[in-house]
Amino acid sequence: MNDHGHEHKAKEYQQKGVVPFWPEHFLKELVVGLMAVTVLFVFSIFVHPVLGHIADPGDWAYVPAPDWYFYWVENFFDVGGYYWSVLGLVQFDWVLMFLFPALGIAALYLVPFIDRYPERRLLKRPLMLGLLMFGALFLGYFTANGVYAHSTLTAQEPYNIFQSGCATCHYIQGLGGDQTGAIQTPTGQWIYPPDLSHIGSILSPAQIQAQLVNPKGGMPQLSLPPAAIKDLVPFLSNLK
Amino acid sequence: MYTRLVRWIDDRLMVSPLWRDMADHPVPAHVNPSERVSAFVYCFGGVTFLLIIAQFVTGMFLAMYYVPDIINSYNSTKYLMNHVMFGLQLLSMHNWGSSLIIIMVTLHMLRIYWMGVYKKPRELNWIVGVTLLILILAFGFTGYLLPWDEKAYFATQVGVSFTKYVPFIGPALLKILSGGNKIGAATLTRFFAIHVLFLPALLISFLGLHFLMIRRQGITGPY
Ligand code: HEM
Repeated sequence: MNDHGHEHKAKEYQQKGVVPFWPEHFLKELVVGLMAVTVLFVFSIFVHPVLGHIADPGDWAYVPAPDWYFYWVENFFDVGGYYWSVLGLVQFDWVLMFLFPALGIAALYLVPFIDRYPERRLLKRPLMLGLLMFGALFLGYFTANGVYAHSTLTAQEPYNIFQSGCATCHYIQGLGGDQTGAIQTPTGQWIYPPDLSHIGSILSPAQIQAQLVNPKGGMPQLSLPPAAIKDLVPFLSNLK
Repeated sequence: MYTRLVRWIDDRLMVSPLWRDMADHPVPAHVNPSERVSAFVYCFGGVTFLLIIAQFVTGMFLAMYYVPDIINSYNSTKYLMNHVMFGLQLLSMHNWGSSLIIIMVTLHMLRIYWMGVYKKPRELNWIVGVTLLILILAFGFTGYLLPWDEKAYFATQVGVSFTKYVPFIGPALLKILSGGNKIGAATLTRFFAIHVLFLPALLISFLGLHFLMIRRQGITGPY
């Protein structure tokens, strides 16, 4: 197109209150996009994802966590599953685990057909406003609840590991422990697994870790998974 | 020189009309953030698109180092993070980029919903949009497994297990998705292929549809 045509077009566009896609619209939108990419770039200089321990399928102590935007899925199924079993609906698991999500996805796809209002303003579409608020509350509640449940679980975890892995022999604060772990030396003396109630002021974290990885003094090799050791060391070090 | 080159190509391929059609197509001024600051809400889709391109680029570079098997995926990721120049930067951008895309796509969708844009004639584009959302989430889910650390492994185990509740085909689906009876080497190669080949192909196709429809129907005017 020649320059004359351009001028003509520019006038016509101005009258209609529109701009050509290139370059006016594209470049201005690109600027906004580049701001987002810049934020991403700078953020990534300072904050890095962490790589955990290599996957160990046998690690029974690991508390799984989804990425942040999937917490609500997991928590919805968790909470839902709990009430489902309370209501005795276990044989209808598929309703909770398949039908509800499928209906949710279908509803999302069908939004344009659910919304029959002639108006476009949200305040003039009360049903759609209600659905939006319901959706926001739903996602917000189950996300927050999921994060909370996960942090409670991880906080609870060292104690659970202690219960299942250590309490057969050792006791803390008078709980756990029995004669199972007692061993007899060649001279006929009995050695009992020590009370760990104050282990944190007796051994350093490094010494505790060493004992767990490579037990000495008659304690059996427990082959604890790395996640269990990682949880147990601070837990035991805090028993002062 | 430049015009001669263009003319030479045009004589053979006639690309100018295509380009003019795209370049000159009118965009309403009310969606332009330099006209009105509040028009930034119209940019969320474009921002998402640019972030997706950034994601493709960082992903391509990550793929130069990543090895999808159950020993080396972890080790190659670790190597990339600790020993490759800009490796950590790349990985961080790809990682946070996925979160940013989720945020942007949500904001984009909220604008569409808020303004009632999906009404006639744009119903079909909403349907394409929801498919794009699902694809984006699938990228996030499959990518989470790839570093093969404990977080990756156990989160995937939980996520994949939900498929077994699908009536009739659930158990088969679970087996197909994980490539066997448990999460293992076959799951990893599967998720890798889905993440870097299947999903990009689908995403590009649906983005094409999305943009074609926008071009056909134009951006919705103010109320
Ligand atoms: C991969 C994710 C997506 C990308 C890159 C994308 C990109 C875009 C772009 C660039 C526009 C132009 C206007 C604007 O930016 O607001 C647009 C418009 C639109 N998008 Fe998306 N989109 C995505 C996902 C979605 C989703 C999840 C939905 C809804 C479920 C959706 C529904 C629409 C509709 C209905 C329009 C027409 C807007 C109008 O006529 O004003 N898109 N999209």
